[in-house]
Amino acid sequence: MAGNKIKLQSNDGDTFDVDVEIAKQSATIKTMLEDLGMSEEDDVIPLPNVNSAILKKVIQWATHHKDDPPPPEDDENREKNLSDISSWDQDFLKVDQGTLFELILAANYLDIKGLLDVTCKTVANMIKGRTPEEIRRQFNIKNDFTPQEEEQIKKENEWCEEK
Amino acid sequence: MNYFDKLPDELLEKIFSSFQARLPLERFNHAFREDNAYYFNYSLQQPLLKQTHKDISNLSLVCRRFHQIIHARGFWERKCRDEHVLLPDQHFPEQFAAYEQLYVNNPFHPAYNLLKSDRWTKSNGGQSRIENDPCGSHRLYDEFGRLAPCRVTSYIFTTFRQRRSVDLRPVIEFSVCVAARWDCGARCILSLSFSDGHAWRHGRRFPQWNDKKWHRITYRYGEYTQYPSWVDVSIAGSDTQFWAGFYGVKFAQPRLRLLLRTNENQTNEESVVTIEPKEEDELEQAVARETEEDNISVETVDSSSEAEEEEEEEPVGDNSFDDED
Repeated sequence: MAGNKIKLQSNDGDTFDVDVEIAKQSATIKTMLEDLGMSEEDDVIPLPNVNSAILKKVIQWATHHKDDPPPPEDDENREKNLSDISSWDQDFLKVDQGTLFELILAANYLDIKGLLDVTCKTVANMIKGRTPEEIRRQFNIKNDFTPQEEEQIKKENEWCEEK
Repeated sequence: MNYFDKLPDELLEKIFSSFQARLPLERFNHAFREDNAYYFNYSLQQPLLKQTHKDISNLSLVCRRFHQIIHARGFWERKCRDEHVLLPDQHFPEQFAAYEQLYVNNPFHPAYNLLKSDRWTKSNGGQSRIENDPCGSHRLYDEFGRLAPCRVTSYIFTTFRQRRSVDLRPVIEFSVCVAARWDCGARCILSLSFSDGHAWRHGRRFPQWNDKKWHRITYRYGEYTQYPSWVDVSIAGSDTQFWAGFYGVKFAQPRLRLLLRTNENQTNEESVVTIEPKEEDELEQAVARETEEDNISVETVDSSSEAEEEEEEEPVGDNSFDDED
């Protein structure tokens, strides 16, 4: 089956020819092909939750990672893979916030574990070490606590500092 | 635009869970067990756990949604398990709620050692040295594969001592909600008697024409010398108008639980929280029967007057409920 292509269609109508083995990094597409008996040759797989720009990025990521070993089922030895983001992935994810969050949603919908892990970790790294106010400013998040609630939470968080 | 709004809660949780105190699996820093589960050298892992907890606590201050996700049931337990702070066979009762504390300080961690290497004392005149590589004996390795240093004595009989607390000393928390009918005065006396002789009493009076509100009364006992082995819980009360029928004090949600100590200087605390009514609950939750018989067993010795006698000895005026109207 090597070299076989399938067609993936974004929600804005564009169709992408992709190697089956690359597309199967998405557990969602793999299930469609294997369990639902969709044919690789003729059918177009519609992806109603992903637009062209994001789908293009996802295919680019999956193509680069096509020879990666499959992610482990359990958490055994995952530390080695997760604690650092490869320099290729870091460059790949130098995108605006909108694209990054769209990639998270697409990786979740398409069930691409590696991409979901790396995009979530990228957002986590953007947050890490910043004050709540800096995080709010960076992501345009409204502070919806009352000053009293904020004080209360600060107090609740103090127990760990005391140890 | 706030892009977090586009993500469902489970993806936010995944992002927050990416804050991890994971050590890379390296030689000498972890130990495998027979079931293939593994744990880290706690002295290496714990500082990272504390830092990660601090980072995540910081996130909980950003907005309500972040706070809710971080304090949702299961969040810290999953972190404990994902990061090998708790092993697959370490389980707590369903009601256990201190996983956040365990994440930072887990006395049940397989590599947790109550003995501290720098806290030993040796007997007066005693002689010893530390051998990082045992001289004249085989080498000894620890569970992480590291060569274990040892202390070696001389010709003078030497005793090494260290005293550590082996008592987790949980805080004992009792709470109960009490209320009265708005149209009839009522009183209640709550008391706890611990096996170590400590006692707590709380008296409360509700006037006639009160505001119907429930009050959650909580008492935390942490200042004991020895952990008590039992506690007698007593909740007593009646109406104060002597009306026939059930017009007396009401109580609900009595609870006794153990909390992990978060502060060595935990003092005994009493608190009273007034619970604001939720009108929608009363409308939405229909009940099959409004009242029913209370068929709990009746004590054979009549002790109903004990609480009243005690009440006279110790007036409850200080705690009396002030009608806000």
